[in-house]
Amino acid sequence: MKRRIWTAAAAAASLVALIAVPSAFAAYTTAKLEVRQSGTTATIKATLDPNDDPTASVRIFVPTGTQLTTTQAPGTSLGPVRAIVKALDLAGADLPLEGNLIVAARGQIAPATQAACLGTVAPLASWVMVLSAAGQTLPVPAYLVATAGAQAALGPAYIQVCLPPPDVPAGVPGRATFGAKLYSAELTINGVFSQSPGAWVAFWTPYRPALGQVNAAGTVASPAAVSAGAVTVAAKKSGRAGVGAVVSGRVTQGGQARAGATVAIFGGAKANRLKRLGSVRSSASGAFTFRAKTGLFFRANATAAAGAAPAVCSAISAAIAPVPCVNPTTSGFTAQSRVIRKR
Amino acid sequence: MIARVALAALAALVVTAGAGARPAQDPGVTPSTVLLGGTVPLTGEAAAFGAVGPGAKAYFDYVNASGGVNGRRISYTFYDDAYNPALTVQLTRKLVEQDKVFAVFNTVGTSNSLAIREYLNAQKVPQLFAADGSQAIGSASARYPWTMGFLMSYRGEGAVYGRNVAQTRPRARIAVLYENTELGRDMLTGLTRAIAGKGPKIVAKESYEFTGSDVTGQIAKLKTSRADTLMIFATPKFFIQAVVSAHKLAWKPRLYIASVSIEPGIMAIARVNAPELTNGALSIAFVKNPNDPVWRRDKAVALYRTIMRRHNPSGRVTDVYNWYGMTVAWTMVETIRKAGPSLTRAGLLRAAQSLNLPRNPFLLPGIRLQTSRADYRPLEHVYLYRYDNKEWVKASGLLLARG
Repeated sequence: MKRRIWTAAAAAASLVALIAVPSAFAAYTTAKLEVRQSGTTATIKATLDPNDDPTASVRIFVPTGTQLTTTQAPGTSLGPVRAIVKALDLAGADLPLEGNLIVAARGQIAPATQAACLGTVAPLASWVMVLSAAGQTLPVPAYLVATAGAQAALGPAYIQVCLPPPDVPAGVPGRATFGAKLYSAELTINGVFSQSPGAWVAFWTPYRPALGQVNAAGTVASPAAVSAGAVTVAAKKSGRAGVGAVVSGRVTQGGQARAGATVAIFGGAKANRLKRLGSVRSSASGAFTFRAKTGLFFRANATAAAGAAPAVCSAISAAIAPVPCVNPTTSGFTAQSRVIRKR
Repeated sequence: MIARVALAALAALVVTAGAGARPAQDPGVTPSTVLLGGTVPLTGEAAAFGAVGPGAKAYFDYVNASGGVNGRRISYTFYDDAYNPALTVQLTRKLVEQDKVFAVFNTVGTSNSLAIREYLNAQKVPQLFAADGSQAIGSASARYPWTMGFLMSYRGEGAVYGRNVAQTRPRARIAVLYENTELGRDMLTGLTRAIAGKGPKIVAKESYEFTGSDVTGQIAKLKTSRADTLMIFATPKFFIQAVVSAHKLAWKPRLYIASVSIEPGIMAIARVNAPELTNGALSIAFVKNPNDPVWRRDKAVALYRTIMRRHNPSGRVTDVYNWYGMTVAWTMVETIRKAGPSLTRAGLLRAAQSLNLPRNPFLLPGIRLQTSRADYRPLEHVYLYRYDNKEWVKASGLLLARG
């Protein structure tokens, strides 16, 4: 009997372990990167679940082919930054922070701070996210670093941000102000990166919870594809006397089918006087069909929101191995077809 | 000839003796300058108040750009004491003994102001317009005549909340979270006296130390009292903790918030985390809020924006503590003006003891700054305001906030 109880207890313990282990390993899986770019203005949004382990560093590679401009004078604002931290010292309150990404002046970032983040690597540019909330300013250094060796397969440079541990006991040197755990940041960077289609790839490295030790083995990669979208359209006569039309076409992004795009159909008797007739969504193959009651000329406008893009992980898997790829995204876009005449 | 030399020598003697009889000039003042000093928490637990220093300095710089006061430019040196009274003492001694300030101005915090009061009174250095409303400072003018606060009485603030709850919800069950300093204790006293025998009951009260780290436990205890009203007499960090903790416990009492914690940036954090609690919360105000559309066309707001742009460009215009700093600086400028061209520390004190200033443009309409040798509280009137999760909206006429 006693043996049976011990066996049952061991089985229960194993079950608990089975339940517990995946959740422990699952403590850093929600990291996500979204990027959109217009000209040389790149907007980078990096988020993860606030209950994930705290982040120690994020390294964001820019796409291959990107040209870099790093001649901005110290003090120049490269663009606004919005972030949200969970302030552990404020009972876990979400703290919305706002500020600007500023080109760092000489000496603005302590050499020890830079060395702790980059080691001996010299950055191409040093920036500071100057964030504030409720009178408290949180300066967060960010560095632009040229890639070397195998890293170059991902792009010519990466942005690196290192964060202090928020969940070590109060009073431990280097602890984040207010125990601030950053879990969302959106940076707009003007005039640094040329527009280059491809994937931005973020590598996220967590801390071990409550220890303040970097957990390199917990690193995950999250890519964000940025590419232009396109929509093509054709129209065939339909209905009695061919008054109506079947308007069909396809939405693509980076040459691949784009599902879920909203396609607005415009039509009319004259090519330069088109009215909005309605809208449809693109299918998994990117195709769409719309039945118009009247109209001779047609045009389609496609709008796609940023969204999940599993194919991006497949495309970069060799370059990031053995780091797991999580939450791949693709950028949103708007595209307009040419005006066509129904046949 | 000998007589002429003797006469000249006598004249020289008279001149020299006359010079020797003039009162010695007080430190920190020359015919063209006057040096003020103070401490503010630019970092640490109360960094939210930090802008009171830069805000005041910006106003002095604006006044200097227009020729100063009675021909003197005002210099204002403020140090970061991180809200630590021990540092306040150290830095105030530096201001007096090394920097040779004429007066200490705009010290933030009750404990901080009390920590330097004995020293400054012994030195006969004016300690004016401390950001404080405690009984310990406001009612001790006989013993410490060189020390004057600026804020309305904390007891008076507690009494305003008490009178309001007695009028509007006579069956209210009140829980109180208060800082275990003069700030919290005085507010609690004012509240207790105001509701005595009038219906509302304090069913639970919990204190915290301002050096403490968290009030989550206190809020959990207060919730068990089944109070329907929560008065938070706390500084911003602890106010936010309290609201977040109450939200996590799904407790939805009506909130009254100490006016030290209602700056719009702080309220925005509270609102993001507990909108159901902040909506309808009550507090008091005595300064205009430059972010409030009601004051969009107000001349003081236009002046404030101009001063911020020219003299405090790195400051956050929406931070009401910049505005508060200018409110106090305006008062100091008028006090120096009133003290006259022969500026002495004793003369400045006499001027501060007889203020009657009805038109501080940064204060809400109808609020007058008034003092006497027996009344060391420049501010005695306030308005009740209600938070609608966007703005603080006026919710009363002018109220007396005497302790």
